[in-house]
Amino acid sequence: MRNHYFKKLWRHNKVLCLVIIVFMTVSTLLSKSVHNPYATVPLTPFYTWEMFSAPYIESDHTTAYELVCDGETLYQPAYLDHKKMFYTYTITKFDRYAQHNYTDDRYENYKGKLQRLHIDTAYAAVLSNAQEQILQYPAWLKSYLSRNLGRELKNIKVFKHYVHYDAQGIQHTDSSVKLLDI
Amino acid sequence: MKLSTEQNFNDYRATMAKVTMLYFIGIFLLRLWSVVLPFQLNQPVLHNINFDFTEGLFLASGWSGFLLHNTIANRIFSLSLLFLPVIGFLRPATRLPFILFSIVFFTYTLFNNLYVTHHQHYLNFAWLITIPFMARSDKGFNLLWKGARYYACWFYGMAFLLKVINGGIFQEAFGIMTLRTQMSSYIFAHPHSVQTNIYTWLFNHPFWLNVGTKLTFLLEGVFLIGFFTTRYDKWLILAGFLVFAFTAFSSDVFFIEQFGAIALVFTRPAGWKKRGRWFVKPPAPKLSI
Repeated sequence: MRNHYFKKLWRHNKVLCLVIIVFMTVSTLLSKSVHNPYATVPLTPFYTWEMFSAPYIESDHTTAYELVCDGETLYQPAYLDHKKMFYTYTITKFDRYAQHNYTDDRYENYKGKLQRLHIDTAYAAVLSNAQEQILQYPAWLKSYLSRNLGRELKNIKVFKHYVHYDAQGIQHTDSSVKLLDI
Repeated sequence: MKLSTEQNFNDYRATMAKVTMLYFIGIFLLRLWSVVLPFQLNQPVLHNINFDFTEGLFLASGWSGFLLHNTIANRIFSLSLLFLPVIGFLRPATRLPFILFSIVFFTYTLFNNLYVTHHQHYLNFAWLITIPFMARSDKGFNLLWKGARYYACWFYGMAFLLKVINGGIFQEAFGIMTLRTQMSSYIFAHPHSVQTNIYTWLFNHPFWLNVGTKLTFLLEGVFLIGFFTTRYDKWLILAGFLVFAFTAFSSDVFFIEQFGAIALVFTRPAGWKKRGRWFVKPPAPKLSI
């Protein structure tokens, strides 16, 4: 590097220089890769953009979520990502918990990790969602959506559709599951 | 010919502080309008630490629950996200609002990611650009700001290298699979829209989809140039914009915070000098008798 950034930084403030080097090193060591044995847990604020880096398992089949508010399907475009983020991400998590009989399947994972770190495993219950919380989700979603959309919603439904794409790239629905109706 | 010219941001600190604070005011006004600020969430019932140790500490310490359930703390937390950047804008020479904002904004990234149940990494880079304004000396500020620029070169460069290391770049159907999985809910909801028709056309012309996918990966890779020269910084802003636009089109996400921060750190001193006239009055010329 012609402008010798780290040399100047070292001269200005050695501690700061070391902090920046450690920051970049830890971020690199936490990068998710099959070749990296250190990539075990994320650790905010260290991060790398490893998403969309591994090949997909190729398939014509996938799933689609549909949110229906008072009989109308709601799907906001990408530029309204901020407006929809608190329900799009949480709906997929609720679906996951619903598949595990409305329990947080990560409880056991957290317990195992805490055990390895010699930390009280009782914290696993704090880190994961209790069944009681999960069962409150439909009511929260309805109240939050009412606030988000600025109108009192009488009914919301969430469907999960199993879809496939034909040779012409057209999407077809194979089957549907109702995740919630409140 | 000199390859890289000396870049010093020292003289433009006040302008940069004002513009950066305007950027944060914009972010939080967007979030206020989008009904996602802490006081607008109706106390979410689900959380997800996603195995993040820091998120785990934030949750287990009870700090996240306090900020969520204590009405006064929740309101102060939300208001400070909007008002600390305003104070920073009005008092760019005072460090305290910047230090407080950096702490509050970092807490917000933890809070948001915990209750949105997903890691929104782009907020972390936005947080990083708050750090240089905490520097006591202008020289320290200059070095930290350059550090943020190098960090941007590093994480975009890593995003590209990880696609090579993990193999995503070599999969022919990568673009098709991304559209099929990421856009499936959109296509389901809008089966006859212009956008869906474009996706269908791309499914039938995978060559162009492949070109677009590889181009997006390469646009991340070009940030590695930034380690060697600042000459192409305005083109890196364009590369950042194209990555942002292509990702919005193919993955239904809108990383405007990330693009805004990229535009800030890759603006060269000459750009700040030009903008400086809008925000900071030039010092009066010294008169000698």
